[in-house]
Amino acid sequence: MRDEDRQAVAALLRRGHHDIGGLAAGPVEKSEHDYAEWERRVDALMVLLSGVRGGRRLMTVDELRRNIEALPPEAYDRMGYYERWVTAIAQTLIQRGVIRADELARRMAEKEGWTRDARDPPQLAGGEPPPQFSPGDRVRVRVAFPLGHVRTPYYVRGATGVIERCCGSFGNPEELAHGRPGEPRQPLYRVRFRQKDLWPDYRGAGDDTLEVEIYQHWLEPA
Amino acid sequence: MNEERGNYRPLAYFQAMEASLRELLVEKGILTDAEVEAAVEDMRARGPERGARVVARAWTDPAFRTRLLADGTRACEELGLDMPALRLVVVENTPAVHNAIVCTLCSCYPRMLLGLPPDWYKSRAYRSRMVREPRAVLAEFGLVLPESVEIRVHDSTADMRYMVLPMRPAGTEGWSEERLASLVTRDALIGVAVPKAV
Repeated sequence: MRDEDRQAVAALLRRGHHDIGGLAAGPVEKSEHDYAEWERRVDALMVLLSGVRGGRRLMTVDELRRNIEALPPEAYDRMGYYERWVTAIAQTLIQRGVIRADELARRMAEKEGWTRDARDPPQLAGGEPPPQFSPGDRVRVRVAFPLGHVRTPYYVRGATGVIERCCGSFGNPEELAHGRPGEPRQPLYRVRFRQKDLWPDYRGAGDDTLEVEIYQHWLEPA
Repeated sequence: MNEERGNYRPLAYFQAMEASLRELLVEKGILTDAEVEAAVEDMRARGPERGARVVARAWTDPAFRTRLLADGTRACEELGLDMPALRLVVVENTPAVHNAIVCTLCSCYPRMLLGLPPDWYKSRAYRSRMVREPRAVLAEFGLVLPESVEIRVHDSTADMRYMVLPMRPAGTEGWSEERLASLVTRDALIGVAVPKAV
């Protein structure tokens, strides 16, 4: 890395993206809007979850702030105020284990109008699930976009492949990432995809393949 | 309460997130729809007129003014104002000092007293510039103060929330508290305006 690049990167770490006091900016636009009902409900959720009302202490204002500050800078700049809040509340509750990223993603999929994945039975409640697939089985990767830490690459979601082998059961990284035990452990598979099924414009031979490790809760029979 | 349920249509991403989050919390027994609705209505009922009432009392009752400046939360509660978890510091404008409020790190605001803040208060421009060039920002709001007046900006970085106690305008002698309160705008409570007797 060149020195000036390293300095620029260090500057990004020294000063949070949200920490904008004193930076140059344009005129203050005296904009106002009447808050939408969903925005008011986000505000109400924070009042309730932070214990201002009702005595719960499921999150702190500083967890809200930290998760807002952790938004990608470009998203931070372009999101509305309560869009940041609702995302940060969701992130906090996932981090705390109050809700699972998976169940939120399923519910959102249902509301956003693509219901197929929302109907899938949750595999993350209860004990360790037995392996559901064997080598040679055709599987489809779920189309879901949970917040938080996931190990299923974006480019395989929705793609159909074949189980190459079962690797055994492992702690769920979506839970391990937040300091929890990762239970229920999930069977992990190597799944083989045809390249041309992943990339419509793939230029190589039709038989080229790619293999990816995927946890069972991301797979469904194809 | 849920206008989305009656007439199904796919929800936009963040609205879907709010609805999903709330439903999951209700299903898990963590909170109820009624509590959410009550909290929405509580917040809707909060507005700058509550702050204006406090200011008018301080203008007409010197002992109350002293208590307000000493402990903003307790003085407001004395007037029957419900301000859960709000630690309010009231800063007083004088002929020598003009106060203004900002939150550069996020958008802290005395919501539990004054309701939800205006959009511009949360804007990048206001948050960035108010600490560094307050006179220029105030001028954009139409407030030009002489150099002899100290401008004191309060950056709400942590647990306190701030409200400005503006100066009582001349020509309001003998006015009722109610009439005085009608002069006090939200912007005056933030410090980007001053009340005027029209």
